[in-house]
Amino acid sequence: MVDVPCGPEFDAVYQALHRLARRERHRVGAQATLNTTALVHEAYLDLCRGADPRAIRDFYAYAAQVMRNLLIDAARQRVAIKRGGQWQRTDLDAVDAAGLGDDAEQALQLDAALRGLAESEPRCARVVELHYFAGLPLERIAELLEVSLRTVNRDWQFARAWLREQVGP
Amino acid sequence: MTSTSDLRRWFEHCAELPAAARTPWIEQHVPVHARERLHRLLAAEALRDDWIGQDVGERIARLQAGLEATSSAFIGRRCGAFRLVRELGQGGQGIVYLGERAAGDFDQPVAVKLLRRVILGEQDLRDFRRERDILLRFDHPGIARLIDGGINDDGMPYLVMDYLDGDALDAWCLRHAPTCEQVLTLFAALCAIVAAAHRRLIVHRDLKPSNVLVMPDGSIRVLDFGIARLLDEDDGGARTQWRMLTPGYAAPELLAGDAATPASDVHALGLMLRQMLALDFGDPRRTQPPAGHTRALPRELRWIIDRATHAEPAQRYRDAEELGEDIVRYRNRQPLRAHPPGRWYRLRKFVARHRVGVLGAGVLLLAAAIGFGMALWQARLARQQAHAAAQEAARATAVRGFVDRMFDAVRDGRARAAEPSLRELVAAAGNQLLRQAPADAEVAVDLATLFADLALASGDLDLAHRLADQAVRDADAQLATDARLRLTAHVLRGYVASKREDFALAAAELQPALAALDRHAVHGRVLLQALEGLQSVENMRGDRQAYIALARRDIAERRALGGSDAALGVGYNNLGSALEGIEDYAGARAAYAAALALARAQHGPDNADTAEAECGLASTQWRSGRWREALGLMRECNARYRSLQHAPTQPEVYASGKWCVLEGWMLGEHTAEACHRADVASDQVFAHDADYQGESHQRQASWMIERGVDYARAEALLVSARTLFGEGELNAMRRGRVDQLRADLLLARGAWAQVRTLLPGAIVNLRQRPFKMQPLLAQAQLLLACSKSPGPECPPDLRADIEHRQQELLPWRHPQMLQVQVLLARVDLPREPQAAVQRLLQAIPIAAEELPAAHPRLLEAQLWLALAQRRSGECAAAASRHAAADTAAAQAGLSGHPLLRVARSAWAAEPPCVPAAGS
Repeated sequence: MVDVPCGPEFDAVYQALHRLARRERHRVGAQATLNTTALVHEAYLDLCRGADPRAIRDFYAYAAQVMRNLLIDAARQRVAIKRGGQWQRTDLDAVDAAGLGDDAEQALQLDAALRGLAESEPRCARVVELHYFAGLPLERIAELLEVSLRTVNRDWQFARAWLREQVGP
Repeated sequence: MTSTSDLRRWFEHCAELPAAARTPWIEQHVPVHARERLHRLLAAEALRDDWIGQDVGERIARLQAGLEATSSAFIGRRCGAFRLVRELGQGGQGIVYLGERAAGDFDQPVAVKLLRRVILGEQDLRDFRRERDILLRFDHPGIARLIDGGINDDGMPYLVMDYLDGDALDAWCLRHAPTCEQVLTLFAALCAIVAAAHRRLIVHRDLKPSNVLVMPDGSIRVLDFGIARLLDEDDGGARTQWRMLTPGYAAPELLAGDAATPASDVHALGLMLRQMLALDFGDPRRTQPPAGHTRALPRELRWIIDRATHAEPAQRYRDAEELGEDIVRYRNRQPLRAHPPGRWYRLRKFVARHRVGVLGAGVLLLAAAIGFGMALWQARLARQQAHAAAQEAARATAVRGFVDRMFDAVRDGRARAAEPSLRELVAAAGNQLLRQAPADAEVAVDLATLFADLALASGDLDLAHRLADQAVRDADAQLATDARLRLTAHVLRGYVASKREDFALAAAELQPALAALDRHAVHGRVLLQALEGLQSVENMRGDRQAYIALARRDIAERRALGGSDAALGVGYNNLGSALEGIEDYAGARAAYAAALALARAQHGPDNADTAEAECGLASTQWRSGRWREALGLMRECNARYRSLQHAPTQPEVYASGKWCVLEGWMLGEHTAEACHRADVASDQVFAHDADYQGESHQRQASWMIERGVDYARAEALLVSARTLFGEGELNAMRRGRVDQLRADLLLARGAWAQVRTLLPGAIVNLRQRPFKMQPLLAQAQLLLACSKSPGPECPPDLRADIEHRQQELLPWRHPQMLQVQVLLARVDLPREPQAAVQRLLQAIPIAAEELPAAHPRLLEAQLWLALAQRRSGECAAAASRHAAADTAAAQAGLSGHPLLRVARSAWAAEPPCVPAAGS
């Protein structure tokens, strides 16, 4: 059987997603955890066996998408509750004290800003997805996107400044 | 306006300047209006330790934890007439509370779901309410009724349902460990409930064990009927699908973004049945039949599950009613509707099955449900196009009116007939459309394409064809050139044409359509139809490169749309076979490996898809020269086919045929079994097909040549195979292989002239396909014959051509290269014995890695090498090599092998050895 070892950072992404899934399980009981765990596990297995570089790139893009969706979902709901609720201020205030309300707003702005960036500088947006959301080192991103490390460094430098400028530090 | 690329250019320039030099540079080079933004960017660049450096997983977890903490904030709040009492739990969709009627005059407890989705704008609200109203009207003792739904004062959407105190199906099964009979009783009841919903035009869309409750009295209740639709936020793309579906149970077409049909529920039911029988509620796609004989699954139940969970919706039971009927048939020991699942891409069988398929009452619902979905979808489409609300309403009414009339026809015309078939229903509606199309052009085209699609699903190719024609005609006459709907109509017409095997029309429609889809960046079902239709076209044309490109795109699209599923596996299998065909073995291996992983994940190991992917991998390994590994894989995958106990299928014929040949070449111990299996399989699948009889003869001859037995009989078999293959264009490759095998026999008896006349044609034939080893071997055979006995058939540049082609192939470690080198060494022997020595010294170790130690081809090579060494004056080495090979041959019982005899008699005829100077 073709058995290609998966790189160490591959494991890192998988672990990160898995940690989230576990956390979710504590929160909502066994059944609801199937989503993330099953999806990621399956994607992971496929790729380890397939080990086609394009497929690996797809996987990272996918993992990034999953993380991005998790973030946006949580943030959206957070914002909805904050806007809709004028009751029991104390509960919410306690939570807001941790800065979560702002964090949620900022996460939504980040999503929008990233979509904007994808229109004008698509490779920059991909670098952000792979680096910020999928946690890949820049060196590995350079390999995957088949560009030089210098290019990726410059993309990241600009994207970072651009996003900070849009959504605040 | 400053473009981002300008900004980036300045930014990167400034970033490299010392801080003090930046402002002057900016003032000199950057327009005033862009300066402030640039300064902000540069300031942002200098920041450290903000969110961007933190782990995004932590950030998500923090937000989620915050939400959890706020769920108690809703206790006591009102949702319509109900008040929230306490939290029952949280799920992917939202938070569930126990609720009570606020007025307190009615004490039945309810479950209230506060939904996570956000309602955006009036239109979204109207959609939500319309779909809620459909569900509010659905009342059945087997479901948790939807009592109310709306938007509460805080702007959050909610649903109120019966609160039921039962056990989730999985928990109940694990606790009670029901017998197979009890499982089937339970499951039949579940099917009956879902069937009732299907009759009422409602698809559940998210069936899973946690949505099925077993009540204390043993009855079943299904939760959340149709709720998934209410939860769907219409923000397009993968996010919605990712968020709203439970991947383990969601049917592949849902993951691909298609609309839910009763067949999608059937898929989930099939997975649940397998889990209930196995008492394993882990990831449903990986549920294995339980170990031990107590619960070994009867074959008929496996068929039912396979059919229900088939990747292609058209191959499943049409709805829960059909599935329930098969369960009843199984319990009554009646013949089943289910039979071993075929492969969707085998066009003819697919069509044949649907042509003769008896379509029961339940299928009416498929059309009906799609009709309803269509009305809603139509409204949504109109919204997307930003039409005025009034126009949209009128359009939705028109569509709905049409669907109503369609049922009128059924009611009026067939009051007596209890079971109008889907085909009748679709035919009635389709013909009505053909007679009198709706006035609105978009509605007309839309309905025509929809019913063409339905007609295709019901097996009525002719109606599909006529409707698609009409859709294209109307669209071309009345819609803008680049209207999405017009494009859809053209794709459908081409797709239908590909199914009708009108490949010229399919190509004419689909090629420009694909270009247009790409221009407009259209994805999803339309694009997949275009790709699938074009794959059929290219497969027929034999343009493998184009086929591969399409298959790759198909896979990429499916992947982008929804991750992995069995249809994706089929795509990988196709891709693997196409890549193998052009000798891209690394690519083919990766594709088969992916197909295998998907098939295993979807169906487990004991499945025809799994076996096919394994055999594909085996075949690739064989062709690429990894014979040892290939043989192991072939044994495994053929054993897998046999263990399925299905009637053999076409892929199994190919797989067993290859297994027989390779066992023969490797002198394997299972040769007889493999070749017998190949003969039986091809007899059953192809009956008395002459081609397959020829293949059988050829396989037998090939084994006899390697083994060195009865060359006269082998030659007779090959001559007979040659006759059976005839002179048709399609069999050119087969004729080439037979001739090349025959040349082996002719060379062994020194029939040089015959080889000279036989091979030039064979070489041309072998070059019909891209495989490179066989024609090279034939060329080497021809060169040997020509060197022994020149003739007019001998091309003057043959030697140079062979050397050139061989150089290109040489990094390839392939055992058959040994045969080529032996032939060339024999050519070299008279004049350049040292060159012959070099050739063989290089080739023997490579082949030895793949072949058994006492293989005649290896021993033959050793004998020729000994002779070449003797001619080169390496007398001692030659003598000991010759003696060793001779002994090995005798020990293996191969002393009489004709290939070895030739080499030995050359040795015997050799003059005494003269040691080379200095050796």
